[in-house]
Amino acid sequence: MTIQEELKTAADATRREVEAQVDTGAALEATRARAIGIRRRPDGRVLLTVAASVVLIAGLATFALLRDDDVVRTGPTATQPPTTVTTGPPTSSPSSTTIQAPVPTVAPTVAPTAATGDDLVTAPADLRIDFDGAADRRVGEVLDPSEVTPHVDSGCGYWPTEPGDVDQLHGLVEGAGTSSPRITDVRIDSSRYRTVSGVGVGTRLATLQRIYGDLVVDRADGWDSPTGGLLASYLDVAAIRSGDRAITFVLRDDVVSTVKVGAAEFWGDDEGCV
Amino acid sequence: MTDTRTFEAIFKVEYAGMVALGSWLTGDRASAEDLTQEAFARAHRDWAKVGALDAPGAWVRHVLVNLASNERRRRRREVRAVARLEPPPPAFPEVPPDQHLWAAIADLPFNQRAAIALRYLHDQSADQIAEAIGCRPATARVHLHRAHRTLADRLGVALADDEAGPGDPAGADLRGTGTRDTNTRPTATEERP
Repeated sequence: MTIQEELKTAADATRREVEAQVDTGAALEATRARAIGIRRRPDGRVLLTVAASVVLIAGLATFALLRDDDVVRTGPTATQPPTTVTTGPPTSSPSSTTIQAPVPTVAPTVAPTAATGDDLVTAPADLRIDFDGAADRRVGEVLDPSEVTPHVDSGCGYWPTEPGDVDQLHGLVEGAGTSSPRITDVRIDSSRYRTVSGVGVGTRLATLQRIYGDLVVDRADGWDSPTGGLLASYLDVAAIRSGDRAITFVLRDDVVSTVKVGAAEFWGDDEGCV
Repeated sequence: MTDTRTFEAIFKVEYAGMVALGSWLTGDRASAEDLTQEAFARAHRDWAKVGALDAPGAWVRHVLVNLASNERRRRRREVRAVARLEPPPPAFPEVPPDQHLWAAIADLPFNQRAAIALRYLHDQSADQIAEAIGCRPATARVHLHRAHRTLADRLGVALADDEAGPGDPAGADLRGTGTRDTNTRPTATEERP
């Protein structure tokens, strides 16, 4: 028996089994009820706007109330030991205005966009993104098996083995479970890594379009037609390609959030290990 | 609009087949029914448009495939996390006619699995498969070919010479029909070291 015949037999069995088990009438009613739910479901943007308005109004009200006490409290909690900045002439008077500034708990990450207003940033050569990879990680590079987590037994796997911080490069391998797994793509979540043009995490879509004349942009709608070779997209993505390689820019609010370097065959918002 | 074009009529004709398709895509009957109902609910919502299509069932099939893919993506992070701790459970927990075949299908990349499911459960041509999963027909043929080859290798069975299905050009040459878009000019060479 060939594989095609086995699949046909299995498909016939599945069809028979499903037809014998499903209650089409009940499913139809459930689907209609669900459709009504879809119609009544408010637009997510409306909900977001309403929620933002409520938060804003609550914030203003709180601000106004606290202001009556001549104390502005900011920061995560009112009980947190504050850093106190006293304004006005030094005085021990309890009625002086006190601003309790928040204590930063996390060191700011590299954010050139926010710092300079420019989304193109020159990075040193050892943090360079190109069509072959990023920094010292190259597509096709053979990794030590200990750096790889195989996914089931499909040959696909993830590197590195442990989740890293945002500055850590990561991606997929082929040959996972063997003695010589090879990197199939390199993914960059940090704004430290940049292309020679200065593009990286934090770059705006408009800038990408200005720099790359052949940029392909594919908007997520769940079931759109492929655009320029992208198989499908469930996130907003933009990509450029050179030969058999592609650099994909995953976008959030039209700003690059992740960069991926890999084979053009798998560009776009791919499946990962499946 | 005739009775055969009503939502109810389409639903009754297509529902079981869609659930079967969903069960191959997700490996789970309950998820398959849930996603199928969601796909039909969206069709119901837009029935003025969907019902006017030549093949409303194809629209639902397309949505179902994408919903299954989305569902898979949603689970992916969980799978990644679990995979770091221990091997995940088999993707097809229900009792299928052939465990080995199902295990092999479960390990196929999603698009290959979708191509196989569409071909064998819904007798779809490469063009129709391409429409359903959102790729070019050549890419759909590659998905089918790779899936067949992988399954045959894994199960140690023969691969029939005839890759062509209904609507496919006879003897379609699969070589060199990858997903690359050769029309895209590689002008972004500045990043090449």
